[in-house]
Amino acid sequence: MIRSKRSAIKPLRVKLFAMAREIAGGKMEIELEFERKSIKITDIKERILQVYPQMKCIPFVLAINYKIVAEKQKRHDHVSTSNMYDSEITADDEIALLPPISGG
Amino acid sequence: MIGITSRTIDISKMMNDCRDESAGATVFFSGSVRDHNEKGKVIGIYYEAYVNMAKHTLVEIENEVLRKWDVKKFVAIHRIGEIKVNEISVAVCVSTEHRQDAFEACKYTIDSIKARTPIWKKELSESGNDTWKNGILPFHIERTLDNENK
Repeated sequence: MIRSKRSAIKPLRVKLFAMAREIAGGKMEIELEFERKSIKITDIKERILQVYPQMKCIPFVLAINYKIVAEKQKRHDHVSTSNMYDSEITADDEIALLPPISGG
Repeated sequence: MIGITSRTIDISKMMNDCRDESAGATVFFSGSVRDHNEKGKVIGIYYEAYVNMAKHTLVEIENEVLRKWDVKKFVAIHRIGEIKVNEISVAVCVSTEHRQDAFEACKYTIDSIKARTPIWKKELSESGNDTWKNGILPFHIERTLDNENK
């Protein structure tokens, strides 16, 4: 019964790039299963680190629907373009894990 | 106009696209692949982007520039994929009525691209020991630059 309930909830999909993708064995995207439909950013980060402990080696931020979500304690030097830090994220949101960027 | 492309950036076309009868100044910036880094010889760079978000971010930057300066024409293009030494990876062209605005708007654009556009570079070495370049966590610099200008 519990199993069928869980499978009815769509997993969150997280896009991976650069060194983060390599840590995940080349996967462009990972799926994270939760028992609830709405998940907080902190839960997503925690789950990623549980599944891929090596991600602790690289700092990263999450982007939700193309908006960077900065951690509260870092807001003084990383100005967030999103106020979603406390929001509930669902499988309909586009989630991406962004390691340190180096364009240009 | 903004773009993310896997093709060679056509700088003549960019300059042409920035021509405007009311503009007295055009500033062009390009970033290209160096043949070395702190560890030694580099034979090229592989650029990877979160393309949809990168385009979204470039549009945001363009809108900020249009709001802050009286810009006549604006073009910013970043190339992705494998790029050889001496080839252009990013280019910005801005035309305005007077030169100061063009210089400032062009600097703001390239600084913003580097600070918050989700693009990553892997430096390719002769030895095959290719490494992702140490970068910075993306952040929004508009407020920082506003403070600097006060």
